[in-house]
Amino acid sequence: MKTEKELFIEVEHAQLNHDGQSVCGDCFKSCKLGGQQRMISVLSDGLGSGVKASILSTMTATMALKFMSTDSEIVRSAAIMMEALPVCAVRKISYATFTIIDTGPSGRTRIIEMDNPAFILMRDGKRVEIPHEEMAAPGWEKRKLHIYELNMKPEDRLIVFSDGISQAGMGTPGLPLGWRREGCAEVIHDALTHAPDMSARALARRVLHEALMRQPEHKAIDDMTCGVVYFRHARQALVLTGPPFAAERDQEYAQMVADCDGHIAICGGTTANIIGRELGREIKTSLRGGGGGLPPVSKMQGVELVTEGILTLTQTASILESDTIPAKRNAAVELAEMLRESDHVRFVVGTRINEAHQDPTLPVDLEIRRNIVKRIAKALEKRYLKQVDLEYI
Amino acid sequence: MEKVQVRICMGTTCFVMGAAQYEGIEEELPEDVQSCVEILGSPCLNLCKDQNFGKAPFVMMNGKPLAGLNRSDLIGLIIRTARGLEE
Repeated sequence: MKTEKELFIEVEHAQLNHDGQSVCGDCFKSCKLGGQQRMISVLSDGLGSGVKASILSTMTATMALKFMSTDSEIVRSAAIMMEALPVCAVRKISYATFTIIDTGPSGRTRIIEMDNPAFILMRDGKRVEIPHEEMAAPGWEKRKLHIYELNMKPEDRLIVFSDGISQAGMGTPGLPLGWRREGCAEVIHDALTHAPDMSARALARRVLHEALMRQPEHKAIDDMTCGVVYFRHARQALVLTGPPFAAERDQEYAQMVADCDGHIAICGGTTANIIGRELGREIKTSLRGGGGGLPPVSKMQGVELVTEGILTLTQTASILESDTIPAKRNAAVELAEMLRESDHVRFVVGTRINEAHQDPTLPVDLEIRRNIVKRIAKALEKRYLKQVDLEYI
Repeated sequence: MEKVQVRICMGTTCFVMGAAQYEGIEEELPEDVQSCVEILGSPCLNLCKDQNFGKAPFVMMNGKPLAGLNRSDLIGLIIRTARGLEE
């Protein structure tokens, strides 16, 4: 266990398409450079909505990530991005806004905004305004770039959103000009007062939900996106699955559970039995509440989640890969949620094969454990930018 | 009188081989039987590892392994055991 707490940059976003559109005209993209050392995120809002807007914002966000990750000069890069966008046949302009957030390991952060609502920085439960510098590319004088430099401190959050969020409720009797950045900031403030350690994901979803609640008929009349960057002490999760190859290592394996002070999941009946036996902890298995084709979860003192193995892991991998949460809660939904709420996930995979799983008369295919765990690890790393360690025992 | 102990395996093999159908069997037992039976799940009864005990799904009743029962057979067996008609 590390004595010094590791810092982690959690980036998540929540998004809703313009009502009736099948794609989102906003784009939120992130990339991690040099392991966990640097994180770049971009929010872009394309002109209009639907496919055309989606192309504009995706091009902008993709180019911005590329330019930032190669440390290109920003004013020149902005000009290239604006010149590269296709011109709208109706409006005769090419246009997509952007906000770029570039955070380094020490917390040194640069934010570049063009025409998006200004970001919100929350520090110690309060909103903090940061001064900016203004620049423009030659020939694009009206497209002002706002450039901010700041040092993120542990527990700071940056919240960015498209105008679909800040203009929520516009034209309704109570909010003639919409909810605006002020209204949004109030909701964030309230949310964090009640839950100071709210994850980036939960906060982004909360802001989106609150914005939508202010819309007439709760319909999105513009694409709505909220992104949150949360600089915080890493939340650790430990997932143990499979019996150790050599039974002599059972005790060592179980001890990992006893030593862990983060979230813990045990996935596998035999695995749970081994750990229960070695640590002298009782396991209670319900016969109810499985759902979605999975066995129910069990209970063990000091462990948040005890599930069946292969079937649950396979469904968890599908949930994470497709980013769609089944309506009914079951063991896989709970595991996927736990993993997404964590920053640093350590998988320890026991590699002893259960021969009964190889029986060709089984009515379903049972995947090899380490392959499924690899799928989950890949999704967590690539899709959710988590730090993942994978060990075999 | 000691309760009849029923342990139902919820491990992967048993689950795919039909243990899912045992959900809620308790409610189907007559009242006199319900009071003298304890039905619990188990993460894994460890009976599928070799071929000695027959085919999954497995149930342990009063320490005796039972293999491949369907829902109604299991219910019938619990009732008979609880009423002392079966060893």
